[in-house]
Amino acid sequence: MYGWTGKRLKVYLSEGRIVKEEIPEELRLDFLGGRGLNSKTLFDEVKPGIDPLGPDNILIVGIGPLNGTAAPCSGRWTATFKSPLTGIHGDGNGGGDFSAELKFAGYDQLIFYGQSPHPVYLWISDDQVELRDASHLWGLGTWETHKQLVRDTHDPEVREICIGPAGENKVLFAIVTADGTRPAARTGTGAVMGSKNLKAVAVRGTNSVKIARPNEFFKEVKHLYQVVSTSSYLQMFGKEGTLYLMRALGSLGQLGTRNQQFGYFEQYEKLSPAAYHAQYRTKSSACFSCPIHCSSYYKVKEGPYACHGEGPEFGCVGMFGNKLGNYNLAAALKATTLCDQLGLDTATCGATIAFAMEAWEKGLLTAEDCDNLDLSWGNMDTVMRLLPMIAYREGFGDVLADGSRKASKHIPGSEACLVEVKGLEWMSGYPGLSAPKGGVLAESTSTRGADHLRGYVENLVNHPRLREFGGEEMVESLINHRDTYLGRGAIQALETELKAAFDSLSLCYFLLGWTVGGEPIEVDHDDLSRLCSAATGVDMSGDDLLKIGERIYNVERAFNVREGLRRKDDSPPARYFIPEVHGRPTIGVDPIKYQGMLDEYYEFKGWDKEGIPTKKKLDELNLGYIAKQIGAH
Amino acid sequence: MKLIQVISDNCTGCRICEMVCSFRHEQECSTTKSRIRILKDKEFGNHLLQLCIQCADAPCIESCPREALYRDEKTGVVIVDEENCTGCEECIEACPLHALFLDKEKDIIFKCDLCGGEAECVKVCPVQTLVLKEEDISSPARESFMEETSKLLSSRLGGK
Repeated sequence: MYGWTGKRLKVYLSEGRIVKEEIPEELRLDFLGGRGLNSKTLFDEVKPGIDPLGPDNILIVGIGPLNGTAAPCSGRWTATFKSPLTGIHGDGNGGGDFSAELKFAGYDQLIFYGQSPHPVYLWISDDQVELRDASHLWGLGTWETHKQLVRDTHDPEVREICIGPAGENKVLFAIVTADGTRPAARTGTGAVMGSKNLKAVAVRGTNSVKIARPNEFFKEVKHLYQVVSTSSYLQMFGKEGTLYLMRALGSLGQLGTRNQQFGYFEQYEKLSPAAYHAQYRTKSSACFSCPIHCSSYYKVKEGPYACHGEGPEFGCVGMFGNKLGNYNLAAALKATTLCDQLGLDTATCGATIAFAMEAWEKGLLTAEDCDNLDLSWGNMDTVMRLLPMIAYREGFGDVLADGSRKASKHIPGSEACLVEVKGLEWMSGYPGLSAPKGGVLAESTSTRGADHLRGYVENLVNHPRLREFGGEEMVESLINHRDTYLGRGAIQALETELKAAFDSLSLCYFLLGWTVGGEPIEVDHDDLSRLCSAATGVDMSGDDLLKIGERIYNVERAFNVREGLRRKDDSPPARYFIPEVHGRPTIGVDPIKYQGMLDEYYEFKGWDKEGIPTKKKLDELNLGYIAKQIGAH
Repeated sequence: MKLIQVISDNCTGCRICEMVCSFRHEQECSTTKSRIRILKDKEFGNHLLQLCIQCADAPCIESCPREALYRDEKTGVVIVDEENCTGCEECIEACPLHALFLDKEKDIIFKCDLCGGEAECVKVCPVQTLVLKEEDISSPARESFMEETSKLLSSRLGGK
C-alpha cells in the first residue's frame, strides 16, 4: 500500500524506551489514519475510569495517507487522548507543516505511554529517534521553544509540536501547537502532554511519499486545484479566512454575545475582515499543501495591545470579541497571540472568562474573589492580566484554569452561567433564529463535547441515503428551510461520517467549502475516494469512506458510553431552551422537538434510545468485540 | 526567453510547488527531491525561495570541474549533464541562490529545468509567487533580485 508509511513509534516515557512497529494493513483499511486510527487506538489501549493526567493515559499523534503529498489541504494532524477537561474521548486537530515533516520522516502515528521522570523532548530525524533532555526548554513559551530547537538542531527548518507554560502547569485547556500558531487546541491536549513531562516533538524528514497511480492521482489533484481556484467562495475565503464569519454571522444575528446570552452583537463590523484588513493584516499564510490560504499574518504596531502573529481565526477573535462583549480588535488579536505563546486554547479560555464575566454581572463574583480584578463585560485589560494567571495557575487564574464546568463548583449559583456540553465550552458562533436547529443537535451530540466540527452543515444534501430516509420533502426543507427540525437528525448522522473520514485522511474541511451562507463546492465523498484510491492503490468508493467514518464515530461513541455517558449528556446548554434574554429573542429550542430530533439521530445511527450503539450496528461495522465492553444489546 | 520571475512577497508558504516539482520529475512527493524549496519564516511570513532563475552569470557552470553544466542557448536553461556529473558539489558552493541540490542516491546534481518550458510550479502556484515571463536574461530587475535574495538566503542558511 502506498500513501501511508505503515510505521509508528511507541514511546514509553517512564522507561525512556522507543519501539518502532508496523501498523497492520487491516487497521489502516478500517480506520485510514489520523483521527480514525487514533480513536481506535485510544479505545483499545486505555482502560475505563483512568485519571487523564496520570500515567495510564496515552497521547496519540496521528496523520493520514494523504499528508506530505500534493493533495490539496493535506496539512492536518490529530492528537487524541482521554480528556482531562471532559473526562471522555478527547482530541484536537491542527495544521501547519508538522504533519508533512512527520510523514517524510517515515511515521504515521506516535503513541506516548507513561510519564517521563524529567522533562524530555522527542527528536526524530528519519530513522534516528531519541528522547532528549528538555530541562532547558521547560518554562519557555511555544515560540521560544521553536527558536531553542532551531539552535539545538542547527536547522532553521526543524518542525515541531510543543506545549507552553499552560501545558506544563496542566491547565485543563492547554494546547499542543504546531509551528507556534497551528494547534490541536481542544479538550486539553497540552495538559496531557505536560503531565507526561513531554515538552516537544521535533522532526526532520527526508523521505518521499510514493504514490500508487501517479497519473491518476495528479489528475484528481489538478481537478481539486481547479475547484479551489474557480470557486468564488474559496477565493473570498483566501482573503478573509474564517474571520468572514464575523461578517456573515454578524448580519444574521448569530454571534454568541456576552457568554451566548443572545446572538445580536451590534458593532460586529469593528471586528470584521474589513477592519482587520485595513489595520492589521500583513500577508496571506497557508498550511502545508493548501491552495486556499485562509490564514494570515497580523501586526498591531503600537499601543497597549501591540503584538504580531499568524491566524487569527473567527474562533479566536470571536472568543475574545463578541463572547466577552469586546469591540476592540487589537485587544482580541493580542489575546490570541498570548494564548498561542502561553499554550492556551483560545476557545475554552475565552469561554471560561465569559462565564466568569457573566457570574460577575449577576453578582455571584466580587472583586475579593478574583484578586481585585474588574470582570465587567469587555474589560480587556483584565483579560490581559488573566491569561498569564491562568497559564501559571496564579490566584483566580487557578480557578479558571480548570475550565468553566469545574470553575462553577467554586462559584455558588454560577451553574446557570455554564454554556458547555459534556464539559467542553461552546465556541463563538450562536445558533440563532434563522440557523439550522441541527446546529444545536450537532454540538450537543459530538463525541468530544460541544463542537461544531463533527457535523453542522448540509454537505450531503443529495446523498441517496438521505433521500431514502426522508424523501424529497426532507431534501427540499434542508435546502430551503434551514431553521426547521425536519430531517436534522438524519443529516447530522451522515455528516459525522463524512467529517470523520476527512479527519482520518487528514484533510481540511475547508476543501468541502464547509461554510455558513456560502456557495456549496462541488467536492464530495466520491471525489475524496478517487483521490485516496489513486494515492494508496486501495480502491475505495465514496460510500466505503462513509462506512469507515461511521466505524470511527461508533468507536468514539463507545469510548464515551464506556465512561458512563448516556442520552441525558446529549443535551444543549439550558439557556438554549429559553426564548428571551434581556428582552431579545434567543434561539429558543423547543425541548420536545429537540428530543424528536435526537430520536431521529439515534435511529439513523443505529443506536438505542440511550444512544448506545446496538450490537447489530457494531457487528455490521466489524466492531463486535466492543459490544460486551459497553453493554450493547 | 521565457523565464520564471519570483515574487516572494506573495508566497503563503504552502509548498505546493515543492510537491508538484518532485512529482513531475520523480513521480514522488518529496521536499528533498524538489527543484524548488521554500524556507519558511513562521513568525512573520517572510518566506524565501531557493530556485534557479537561470541567471546570466551562472557561476555554477564555471565552477564545474567536469563541464557537466551548460546553458541551452535556445531556452536559456542551465542543464546538468548527468553523464558527466560526479556530485562533487562545487556548483552548490558557487550558487548564490542555493538552488542546486545533490541527489544522494544517484550522487548527481539536480536543478530547475523549467520542465522543458512548461514549469509545473508556475501553473499551480495559487498566489502568483511564480510567474513565467518573457524576459531578457540579464535584465536589471533580475540582477537586483539576485543580489537581494542571495543576501537574505545566506543570512537565513548561515552560510550553509
